[in-house]
Amino acid sequence: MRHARAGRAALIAVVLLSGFACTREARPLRLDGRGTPACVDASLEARRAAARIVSLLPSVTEILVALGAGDRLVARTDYDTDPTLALLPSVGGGLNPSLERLTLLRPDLVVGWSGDHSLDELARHGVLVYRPQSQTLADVRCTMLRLGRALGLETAADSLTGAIDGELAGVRRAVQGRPRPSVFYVVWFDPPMTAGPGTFLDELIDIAGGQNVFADAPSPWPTVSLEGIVRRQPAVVIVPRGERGAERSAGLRTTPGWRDLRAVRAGRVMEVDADVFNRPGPRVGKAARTLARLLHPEAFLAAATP
Amino acid sequence: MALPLLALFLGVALVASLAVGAAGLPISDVLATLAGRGDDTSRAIILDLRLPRAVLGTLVGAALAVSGAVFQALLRNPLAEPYVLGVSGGAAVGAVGAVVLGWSARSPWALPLAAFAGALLAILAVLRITARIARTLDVRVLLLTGVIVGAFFNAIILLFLTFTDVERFRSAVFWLMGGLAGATWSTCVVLAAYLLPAVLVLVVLARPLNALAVSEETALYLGIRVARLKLAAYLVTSLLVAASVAVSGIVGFVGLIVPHGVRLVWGSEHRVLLPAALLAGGCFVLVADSLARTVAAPAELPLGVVTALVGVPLFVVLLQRSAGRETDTSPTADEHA
Repeated sequence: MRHARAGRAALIAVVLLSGFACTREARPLRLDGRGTPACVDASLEARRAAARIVSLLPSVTEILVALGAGDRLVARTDYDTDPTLALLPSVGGGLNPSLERLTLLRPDLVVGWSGDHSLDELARHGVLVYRPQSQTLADVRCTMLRLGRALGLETAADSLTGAIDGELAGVRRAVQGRPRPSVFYVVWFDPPMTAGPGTFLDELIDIAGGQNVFADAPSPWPTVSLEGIVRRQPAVVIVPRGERGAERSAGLRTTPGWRDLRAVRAGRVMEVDADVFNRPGPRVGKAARTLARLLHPEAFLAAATP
Repeated sequence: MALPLLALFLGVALVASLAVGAAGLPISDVLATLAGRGDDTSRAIILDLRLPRAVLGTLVGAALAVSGAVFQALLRNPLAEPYVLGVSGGAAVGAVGAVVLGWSARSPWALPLAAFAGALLAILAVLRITARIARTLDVRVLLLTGVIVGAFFNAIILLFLTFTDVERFRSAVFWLMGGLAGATWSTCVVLAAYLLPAVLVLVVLARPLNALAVSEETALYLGIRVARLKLAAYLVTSLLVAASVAVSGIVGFVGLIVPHGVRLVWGSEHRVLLPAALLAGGCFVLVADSLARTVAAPAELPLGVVTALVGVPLFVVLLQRSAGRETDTSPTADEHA
């Protein structure tokens, strides 16, 4: 009986996490998809004048602020730390929002996680629910363009995506032709989870002139064994530093498996801002640039002193 | 006959578990590393990751299987297994609490210590409640109390999980599914420090357990101090389970199917059953963990999931065979199967 209950808890977790971290449709990785049919969403188009928006995704909240629609937000989540949003009421962590509290906010557009079916109830009551895919850089572009069109902010969306394209292309140029160090990106530590093929993080590593050691993983967000990481001996380990990231990367030198990585022994564990790296939003260009500077400091030294 | 054969199996399983894994090292590299040569990466994988893990797996399997065998004799119930008595529930509350409150990220010892403390709490709670309801250690009351205390602790776990963030939720749930990924030499030493004295005590208790397994009256007629025997066996095995849960999470079914299998082949004389269960349990967990590490490589399956997936069909087969032989299966076993 004990097992049945432990099993149920596990199942709940799997369902929750798959909503959080999995994609169901594979889309080609394409950066030049401006105006492609994939970026048109008829239901979003229908609600041009959304004026009361709740975004449960910190990345989309950042997009909305970048598009100049920050003043239409009527709530935030615990993860939205932008000072301009500090006065808004929080709806919690974003994963299991209270529908009652959402309804009280009278939103006309709610943006939620792609697997979050608890929002169906809101949709039935006439609230437009938008659940964008946020797996790839192309997804991020699409989300920006769709929201821009839906909110009547097409120009802002065009210039935002244009700026990001420019940033990414600049980073790509800067590291072109340089040796590509192998990179292990820590999404979560225990057990280790990393970014596999078909994720924006995999694309960012590639753009920044690195080689993702799990680019051949069977799923976008694989949980991997320490043995597998040691076998691949990444030259660099990237640790997003959030609330707890710093504590963990300090302990790597004494943990079996981690301490066997040449990158750990050589001090090539690099901490980056988790909020910039783990959010597929307007700061992806900044993320690529930061990563490229860490992987190829010499490329940027040369560029600074022509 | 039984013990040398099982020891041989265990040796083979140990070597095999060093040879397989997500990294897919060729067997020549494995042998070279074990002989003291081999490059840094193979040495790291085999000596720093696989070896402590194999040793810990053997210890966990041995501890759980022998605890199961003792519980089944103690409660005279073929369904009794280490987790029924609320021990794992208590350990799980401690472990999940340590993850959710962030202690486990600060020190590698926080989680096993918290799990062990939780298990002790559960053992004490079950003993006190049982003692209050029935003056002697009535096994039916003990069993019911264990189930109820376990259910209560489960509710607390779910409560913890409700109020945590995704990262800690994930760590906690993976812990609940059982696994040996955290194996280090220190965890091996800790578990061995529990296992060795416990085994010595249980070997001494093997003969009285034979009598107790028949009935309490038989044991009394033979001059055995039943109350003390039950308390001693209960405490020793519970501590053993607490220690193994603390280092490996919830690895189910080992304590259920290994003793059943051993009984089917070599009978239920506890002087053979207990050491045989020890060795066979080690074998079972080693094989299950080797599967867990290789089937979905580079990912790892949770060990508790593999022991259940392998264990349940095996248990059904065992049940059918033992029912066919009309040995020690009671009607309750059929009901639950």
